Amino acid sequence: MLACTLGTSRPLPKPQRAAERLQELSRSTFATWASEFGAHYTQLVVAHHLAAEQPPARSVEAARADAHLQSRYESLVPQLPALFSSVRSKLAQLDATVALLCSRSPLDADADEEWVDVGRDDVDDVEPPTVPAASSAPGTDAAEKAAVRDAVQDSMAEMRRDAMLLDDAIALLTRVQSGAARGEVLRDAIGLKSAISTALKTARALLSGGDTKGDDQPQPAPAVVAPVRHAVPRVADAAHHHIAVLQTARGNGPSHATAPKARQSRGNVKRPPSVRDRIVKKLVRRMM
Amino acid sequence: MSEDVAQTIIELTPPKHGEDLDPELLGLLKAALRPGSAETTHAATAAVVSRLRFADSRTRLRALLLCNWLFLRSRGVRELLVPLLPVRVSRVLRLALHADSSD
Repeated sequence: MLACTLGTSRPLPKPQRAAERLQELSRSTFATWASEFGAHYTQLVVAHHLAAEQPPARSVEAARADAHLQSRYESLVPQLPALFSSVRSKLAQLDATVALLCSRSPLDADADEEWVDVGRDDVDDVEPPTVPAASSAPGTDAAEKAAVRDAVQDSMAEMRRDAMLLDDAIALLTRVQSGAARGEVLRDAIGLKSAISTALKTARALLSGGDTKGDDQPQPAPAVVAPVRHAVPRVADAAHHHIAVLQTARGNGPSHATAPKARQSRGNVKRPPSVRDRIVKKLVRRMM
Repeated sequence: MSEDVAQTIIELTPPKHGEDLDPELLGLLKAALRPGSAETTHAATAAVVSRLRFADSRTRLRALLLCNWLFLRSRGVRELLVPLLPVRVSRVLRLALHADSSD
């Protein structure tokens, strides 16, 4: 009887609220029986003491849910480092692409200027170009920006998927009762989720701001982007590298004066290849 | 009569929320148990214990309320229910009594 009403040997059945109330009522009932009939039935006194010492029982449903959560947690934990590193890499890629999109870099301006200077010195010796320079073509700059914008949108879509995965992981980590290094993992997950939100806001602000401006005029970086660029110096280097790659792809490579700078930049920065490749591929497709 | 008592007890302990027992059905049960037939008391106790083992805490809760109601009113039910307490309780009790008597 104690097992049926207190859950001494096995968990009480669902629902949980009724199970808790059953246990509470069982204690009070045994107390009443012990006080009323304890003199005649001494087992009731012992049963009352056993009932009072019984810890709160969990229902079968709650115990099963806990076991399910624990198994999900144990299967999730080995996957988290890969997810975190993937998210970090994508964040870096998005930052680099956003930095590339937000304005024409000083390096790009230098490159155009020096290209003009070189051309002016050799103007009599060089054949007139059969294909107009890409920088002077009105549609080329727009195509470049459109390609970069597409890359940003692709990265944003990937980040949204990662954010959903992180949401699931955070929900699971907050519900699970115990686990090795749970707090640290949870902190990392929340930090990455917050970073994704910030990056997505930045990219969204940039994309919406970029649509209203003309393509020919240099676009000043939005106020929300500026702190990001200053906080992550490698982003600017990566942006310079992207510009150099783009110029190479459209057959208008960087000048000799700027090439060492780009190489130096390449040497210092670990750049995400996938975004660059995507941009170059899209740009080449548009150019053809 | 025994089947009627068992049926009444089943109707008194549906798997529903709430802790109110139908007074009309309780009146029927009281009337059935009043003659003090051992068979009826056995049937009532067995039915209550069976409902206490039902796989729903709401039914168990109502069965415990009914069990308390019967326990407080019927000596025959008390005599049948007390031995159903876990064996280890009796064992602990016997050990305690033995220790007391040896002192």
